[in-house]
Amino acid sequence: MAEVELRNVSKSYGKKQVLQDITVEVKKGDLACLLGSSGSGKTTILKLLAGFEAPDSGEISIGGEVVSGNGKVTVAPHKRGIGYIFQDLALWPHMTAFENIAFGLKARKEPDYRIKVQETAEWLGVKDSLDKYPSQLSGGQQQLVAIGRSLVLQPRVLLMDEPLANLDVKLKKVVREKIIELKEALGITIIYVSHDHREAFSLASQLIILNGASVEAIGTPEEIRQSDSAFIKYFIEL
Amino acid sequence: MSRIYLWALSFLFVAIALLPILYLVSHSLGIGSEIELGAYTALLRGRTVRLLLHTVGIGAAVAISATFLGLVLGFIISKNNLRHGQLLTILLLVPLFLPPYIFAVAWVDFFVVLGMSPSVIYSPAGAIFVLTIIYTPIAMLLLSNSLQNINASLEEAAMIMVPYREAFFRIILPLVKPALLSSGLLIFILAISEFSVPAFLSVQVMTTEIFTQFSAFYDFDSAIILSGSLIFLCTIGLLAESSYLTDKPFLTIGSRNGRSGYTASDKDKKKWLAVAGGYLFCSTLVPIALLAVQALSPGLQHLAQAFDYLKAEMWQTFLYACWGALLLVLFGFGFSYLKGRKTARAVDFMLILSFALPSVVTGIALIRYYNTPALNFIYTSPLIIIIAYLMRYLFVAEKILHNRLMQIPASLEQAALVSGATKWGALWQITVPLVADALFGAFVISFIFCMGELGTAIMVYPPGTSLLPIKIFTIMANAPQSLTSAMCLVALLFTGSVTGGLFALWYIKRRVTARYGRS
Repeated sequence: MAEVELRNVSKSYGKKQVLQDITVEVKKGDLACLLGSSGSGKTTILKLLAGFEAPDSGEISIGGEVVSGNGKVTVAPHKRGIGYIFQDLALWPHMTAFENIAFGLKARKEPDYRIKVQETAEWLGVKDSLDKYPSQLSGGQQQLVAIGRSLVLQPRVLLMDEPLANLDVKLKKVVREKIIELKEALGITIIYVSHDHREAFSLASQLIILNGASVEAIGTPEEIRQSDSAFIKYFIEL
Repeated sequence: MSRIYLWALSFLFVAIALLPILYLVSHSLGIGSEIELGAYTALLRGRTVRLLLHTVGIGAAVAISATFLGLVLGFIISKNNLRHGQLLTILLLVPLFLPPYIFAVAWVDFFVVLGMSPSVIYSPAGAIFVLTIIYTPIAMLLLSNSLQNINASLEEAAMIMVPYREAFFRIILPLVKPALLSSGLLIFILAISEFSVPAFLSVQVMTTEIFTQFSAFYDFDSAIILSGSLIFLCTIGLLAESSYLTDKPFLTIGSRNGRSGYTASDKDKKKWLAVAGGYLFCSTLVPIALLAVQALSPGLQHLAQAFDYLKAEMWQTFLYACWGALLLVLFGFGFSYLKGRKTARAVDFMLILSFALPSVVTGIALIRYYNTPALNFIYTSPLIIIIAYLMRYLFVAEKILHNRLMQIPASLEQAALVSGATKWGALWQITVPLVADALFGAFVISFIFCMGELGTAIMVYPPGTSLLPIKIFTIMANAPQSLTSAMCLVALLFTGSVTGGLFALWYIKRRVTARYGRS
């Protein structure tokens, strides 16, 4: 059964059609990568999945439950069981790394939140930086804290918006390995946005190629490589 | 090169506007004056201390309530993407542009017309209430700007975990804390500086005391010392927050950016629209409507009488306001253009200080400085009024123009320069047309402020000069309430029709240009 499903989803901003009749399924435990050029609607799909915005038409389901449909958000973002790693990380500047990671657990009134934060930070290798503010952390540490903030809540779906975009080559490698590790260790479904096809091919078990406002192709990296689509061939060659 | 011009312009402003303040401060400290020791001990008298505490209390109450209301309204206009949101924002700003004394009269009318005792409004609580309504738009502008500038993903990251209400209190509110503090402080300073509202409502505060000491008792020493203490209070407050206030683009004409992470549901939008609309209706529309009702209660008789009283002043006020606005735009553009993209904290502080100083204190400073043999030609001419306008409102004009200039990429002017244009050519042909909307906006806003200026003008107006607010304020002391209201209505209609006319001309010009091109 599909963990995440978009059925005939369309979305426009004013006169600009961003998504047109998109239908996509992502299975439980898969790492699906949304790949496409700038403005192809990748981030919009994440926003719709998160519930920050409602689709104009079509339906979105997570774990078999319809979360958006009929132009409305029917399940609020915080009730969807998702995690979101933003491109700019969105670490709250007035909170320490510990407070950032603990925020969601405290909101759920989990009594053992301190232990969970410590465990997550240890696994990510940022335990020593928990009392620092985001501005005092390196780029890689910030990235790992952002991952920790999402993971500590044990989401069933993790949405990642170009999480490696702002990192140097060395840090990219470290964070990429962590992502693979967490997928294998926790088995959560990951939807990952990228415009870098090399990164996408190396990480994903499923690729969703967007072109314009539509889906150009869906398949495993191998299937996509063998595609006859001129757009895909051009995109991969870039 | 532009630094030299900036220095020259700053020097000019210091010479004509800031030196009077420094001169007054030095006099209040006994430097270059012969103030008797007894005048200083008056500061410690029980009555003066009580007055100071009273003023601070009123200022604090206004700051807290206006900041709270400004936060609610700022949230409504910045986060809800309401239909006709821009119109709503403009309407919510109306109290800021009306002369404060008109608002005080309108609220007295509210009680009179509805058959209630107006004694409620003739009280410190009444002054707090009226001043809160007048200054709420400032808090709204500052806070909506701050809310708009919060990175949407910071909000969204919280919304993934908690309901929006909790995200607002735990993430967004701490992020706008600097704006909340600055808004509170600025409003506190403006509230303790305001003269016309407490004067009309017979509430004793520092500004009314200074006015009384100076104009009624001719006790110049006491007035100067009290002014010095008020300048000290304002300066301390501004020093604490000037870097924040001067950096914020809260007076912006032109495009604004900023995406909100929060998308209100249709139901919530209706709810917030009702809240903002209700506030607008109760705080602004009802009192102004009742002002009109009161003005027309004896028929057209008082309105005709008011027009007759004020017709001579209308033209003169219009003329001075035009000159004032023109000069404000020129100085404002000069400062903002020469500052460019660099920070010029000293210039910013100078402008905000002259803006936030109590109007009566500014008046006394101008009198002490210009009422000397060497500068008497300015003191006895309408120039003194224009200088007063410059001191009071240059901060606003400069802010509007600087914010607009910051929205224009530097590369546009640079492209003209590498294409062979001179510095002046690039400025005239590229930058000025691009900021024309802000130049017009700054002119209109400055014009409205100048038309309503009372506190300083009433202290310095030269013989043979008579201005609308001064005439109204002088007559209203002994006039029946309906005549007072009629005079305020005439002033309101006059300012409104001139402003409306200017906007109509601007709109027609834009339509014609859009249709037929510039030629």
